[in-house]
Amino acid sequence: MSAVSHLQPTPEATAAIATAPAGYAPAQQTAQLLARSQARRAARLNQPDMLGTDDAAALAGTTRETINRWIGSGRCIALARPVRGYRLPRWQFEPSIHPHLAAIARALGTNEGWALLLFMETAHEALDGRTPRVALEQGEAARVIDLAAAEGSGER
Amino acid sequence: MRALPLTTATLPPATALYRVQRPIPASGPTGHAVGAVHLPAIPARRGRFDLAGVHVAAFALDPETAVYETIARAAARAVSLSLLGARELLQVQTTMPLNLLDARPHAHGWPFVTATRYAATQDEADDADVLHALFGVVYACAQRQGAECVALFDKPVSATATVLATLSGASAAALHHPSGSLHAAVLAALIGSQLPLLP
Repeated sequence: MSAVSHLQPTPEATAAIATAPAGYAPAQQTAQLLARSQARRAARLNQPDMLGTDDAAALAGTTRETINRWIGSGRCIALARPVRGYRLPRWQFEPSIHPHLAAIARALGTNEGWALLLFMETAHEALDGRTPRVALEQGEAARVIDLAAAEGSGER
Repeated sequence: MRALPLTTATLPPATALYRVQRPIPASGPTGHAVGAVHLPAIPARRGRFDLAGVHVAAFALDPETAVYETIARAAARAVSLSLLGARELLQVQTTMPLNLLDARPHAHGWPFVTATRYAATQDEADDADVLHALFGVVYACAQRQGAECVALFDKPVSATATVLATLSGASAAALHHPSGSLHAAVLAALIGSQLPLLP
C-alpha cells in the first residue's frame, strides 16, 4: 500500500460519511469512541466492589432469577460483561440505597446499567457536590429522586 | 441585589437559544411543557439561578455549550450512549426583547456566580425577579470558559403569554440519531472534554 493510498478513506468510511444525516458525524465515529472506552469499562467491571450475579443474589438474600428480574426492571444496577453475564456494584445492596433504585431508574428514564452507575457515582452540584450514592447513604432519597427526574433538563 | 451590582442586558428578538432536554413523549409531557420546552414538573431551587416558585429554563447561546451544560459537565466522568439516545437538542428563538440580569461582568469579581454554591445565585435570581422585574439572567457558563448561558423565568410577559410561550421556531434534533450517528455538537463536546463514551 502506498503512503498516499494509506491516507484514503476506506470504502466503508466513505459510505458512512455519505449516509450520515446532515449535522451528524459518521456512525463509524460512534463505534470508534465506544471502542476507545473498552479498557476503562473492563477496569470498572473488574474492580473489587463488583459482584457476579450469584454473589449478588447471596448478598441480597434472594435468587439469581430474582436478580435478573431486578436488572430488567431497574431495581438493580448491572453492567453487561463483554461475553455474557453481568457485574453488579456491591454498594447498591446497602439498605439505605437498594429500596430507592427502582424509583431513581424511573425518574431518570432508563434501566441501562452504565447510565444508572454514572448517575449514582457522579458528584452533583445540586447535592452540594456529593454523589447520589452518598446522599442516599445520608438519608436524602427524596432529593436524589428529584434530581434524577430533573436530569436532562438544560442543567446549569 | 444581594451581592452583585445591578447590571442588566436585553436579549434581542431573533436570538437563537439551545438546550439539551428530554423529548416530550407523544403521550404527553412527563413534566411541565411550554411549547417545545420541557421542564421538571415542579419548579424548585435545584440549579444555578433557579427560583422556588417559577419554572426556570436554562439555555446556551450555542449548541456545543448546551451539551457541555448537561452531558459533558466538568464533574462528569463519562457519557452514556443510552442516555444520549433519550435526549434532544432543542433550538428556539426569542421573538421580543427580554430584559435580564447581566451576571457576565461579575464572573471575575464574584466567583460564586460560576461556583457550585447555587443558593447564592438563587438569591440573586429572586431579587432579579421580585425587586427588578427582570425576565431572567444571562451569565458566564461555568462548564465552558468563554461561553454564555441564559436562564429564563417563565413568568407573564403580557396579559396572555409567559416568557417561554413567546419563544418560536422550535426545532429538535436527536443527540444520538437512529442511524448510529452522534450529533456534531455532541461529538465536538466529547472530543473537547475528553470524556469516554460508554454504552
